[in-house]
This record gives sequence, structure tokens and C-alpha cells, in this order.
Amino acid sequence: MSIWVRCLSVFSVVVLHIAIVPVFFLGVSTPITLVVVAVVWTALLGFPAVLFPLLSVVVICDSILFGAFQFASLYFVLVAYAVSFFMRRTLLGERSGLGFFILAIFAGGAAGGYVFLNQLLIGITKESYPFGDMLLDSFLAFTLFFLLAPLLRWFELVIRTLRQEAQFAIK
Amino acid sequence: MVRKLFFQTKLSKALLALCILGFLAWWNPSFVMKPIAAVTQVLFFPFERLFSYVAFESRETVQFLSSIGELKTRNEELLRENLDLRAEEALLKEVRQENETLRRDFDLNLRKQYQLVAAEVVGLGGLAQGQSLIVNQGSGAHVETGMPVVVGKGILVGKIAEVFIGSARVDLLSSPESMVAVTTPDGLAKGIVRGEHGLGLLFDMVPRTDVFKRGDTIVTSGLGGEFPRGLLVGTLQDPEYTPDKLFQRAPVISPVKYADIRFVSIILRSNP
Repeated sequence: MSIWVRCLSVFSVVVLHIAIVPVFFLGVSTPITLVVVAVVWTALLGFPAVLFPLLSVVVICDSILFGAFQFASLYFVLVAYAVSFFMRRTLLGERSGLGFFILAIFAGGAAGGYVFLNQLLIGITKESYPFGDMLLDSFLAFTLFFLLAPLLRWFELVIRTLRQEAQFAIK
Repeated sequence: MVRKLFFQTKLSKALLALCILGFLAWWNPSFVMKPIAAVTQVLFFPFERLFSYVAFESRETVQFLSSIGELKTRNEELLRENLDLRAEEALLKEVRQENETLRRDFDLNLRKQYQLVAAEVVGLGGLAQGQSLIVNQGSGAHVETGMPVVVGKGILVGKIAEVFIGSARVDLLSSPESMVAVTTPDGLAKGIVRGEHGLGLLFDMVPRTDVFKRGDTIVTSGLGGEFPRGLLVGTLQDPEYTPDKLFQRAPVISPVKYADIRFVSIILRSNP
């Protein structure tokens, strides 16, 4: 049963990424939904467990939107690893209020980093370096984090309840 | 304390995942990605359609409410613009009739009307959200890969890149793969318009001898047969020489904001 809830959460993220978030967040130059989802899922599931749902979402979105897997999508794995790395060393996940806020900032930073990576991949020129885009995307990802985190957390609670797992497992 | 071996660590798993994904991105197996896209798009399409409708309607309501204060000024501007356009239309009607008469006299075929299929945007995507759209017309409406996609009566915005059962992916002109042969309406400058990785459009490969200036419009030239002649692409900005000084180029401003597009028309090839 929990596998269906997992599929539903993956499904929701894809629909959010393709059909909802780009409509509201006009002018955004980053797949902020995927960046935020990578951060939230890693915080909730831990690094090795996040790979399967995260990569499913990335492969589905890339295949629908581009017809090919994108090099830039490797960035989401890096983000997930970085979140796991810092959570383990700073015990961010155990401090719910502060940890939540810091993770939101992390999501914002990761969105800005995506713009930087994208510029590296296509070549930076002095005229086109998009500092404005970086700031805007960071802010939007920071905002989106507060909308997506409760939704994804609810999905995980349902899954854990169905699996009858402990609610406060250490990642 | 038991020390983990390297292949048991998260770092090794991350590196393994990156290697596999990097290989996939480099290899780009379309025989794997195409079926995934076809199946998932069929599954997601009804939800994309429903949620994009809700999202577009909500956004338009918010935009309407926030722009009430500007409506009076905007209305005055539009009234003035409308008067100018009416005068221009009357002039163009006369020119059109004259053109048709001359074409008949010289036995030239009259320009064919396009057969259009209207479609609604149900998804947006791309590195800068300006590279691809998902629209709600697919193989059922005889849509085929390569067909031009326009807004209004003839503003070119992209072409069909992949067709699904009830939907299709449109690669916008701003996507890096996009390349369209264009010309100024008077034919004095010819070149190509290519996408700049979602950052905009560039009128490029224009010979040094060609003449154009800021504010000129560019339309498709019909060369190559991919797009019909005369579709509006955009307005030129300040021209400059390429670094090797062999060609001229200029940024292009499209009359439509790609992120704002909700309805498009697909030009069917079968009966142009």
C-alpha cells in the first residue's frame, strides 16, 4: 500500500513541476520545484533512500519536457548529498524549528547554485551573468520550501504509518 | 568503532549515482526516454490539464485584481494604439487588394491561408522556463513533429518537438536547438534566429552588406521549407558585429512573453 502513496507523491511533484509552479513563478530560470523537493525529501528520507524517488521524478520530468536526460539534472543528486552531509554533521534534522528554517535557506542557496551551474555548462559571459536570476530563484525556492515541505512531510507520515515505522527515525 | 568500507559510504553511492546519470545524459538513449515520456505523459496529461487550468485562472485573477489601479491609464493607451492601428489597417487593406490584383495579373499563386489547430498550454519547462511547452493537442488532432506553433494570427513561437497521444511538446524559439531562417520584411537583411539557452533570441549570421536597424521587425523567410514565409518572429535591438567581424547580429525581442503563453495555434502541414 505504501508504494502507492510513494507513487502518488512522485506524481504530485511531477504535476507541480510541469503544470503549476511555472505558471505562478513567472520568469524563474531554475527548476525550483525539483531543487526544493531534493532538499525536503533528503531531510525526510535520508540520502540513499531519496535516490529512487528523486531520480524517478527527474527522469520523468526530463523525458516529458526535453525528450532526453539533462546533464544539469545531476545537480539534484549533489544537492541531496550535500543536505545529507550537513544534516548528519550539524544534527539539523533534530532541531525542528531552526532546522526547518535553515533547510529553507539551503534550498534557496541550492536554487541559486543551479543558475551558476547552468551558466558554467553554457558558458559565462560578463554581460549575461545572471545575478538577478540567482537572487530571484533563491528567494522563490525559499518561499516554495514552506509550501512543499508540509505537503511532502504529510506523504511521508502516511507512508510511515502504513509501514508502522517509528516516527522519529534518525537519518 | 567499526569503520565503514568506502563502497558502504553515502559518498560512494552518490558517486555511483552521478556516474550512472552522467553516462545516461552522455549516451542519451532515446529508445528508453521516448517510451517513458509517452507512457508518463498519457498518465499525467489529465492532471496537468486540470491543474494548469486552475493555476492559469488563479494567476489571471490575481493579476487582474492587482492591476485594477492601472486599468484607466492602460485603457487610454490602448485606445490611442487602436486608433493608430485602424488607420494602418485601412492602408494595409488597400495594399493587400493591390497585391492580390498584381499577383493575379502576373499569374502568381495567391498566398495560402494556414490551417490552424488551437491548443492550450498545460505545462511549461526548461532551463529558463522558456524552452518548452506542453500543449493539449497531439496525434489525435493530426499534429506532427516539426509543425510550426504560432500565437495569434502569425507570431511564431516554436515548433512541435514530440507528439504524444493527447498532447505534444513544443520547443520554443529560445531553446538552444532552435534555428529559423528569417528576413526583414523588405528583404534587405537575411539571417537566422537562434535561441540563447532560454535567455532570449539572437538574429545572427547576417552578412556585413545587409542593412537593418534597431526597431526593424523580422519574419520567417520560408527558406528550408520548415516554416512558412511571413510569420512574425520579433523586433530587432541594436546591431553589432560578431567577434570575427564577418557577420552582423542583434538581439531579438519577441512580441510575446513565452512564460505568459496560454493559448497557441499549430499550423498543420497537411493543408496549408
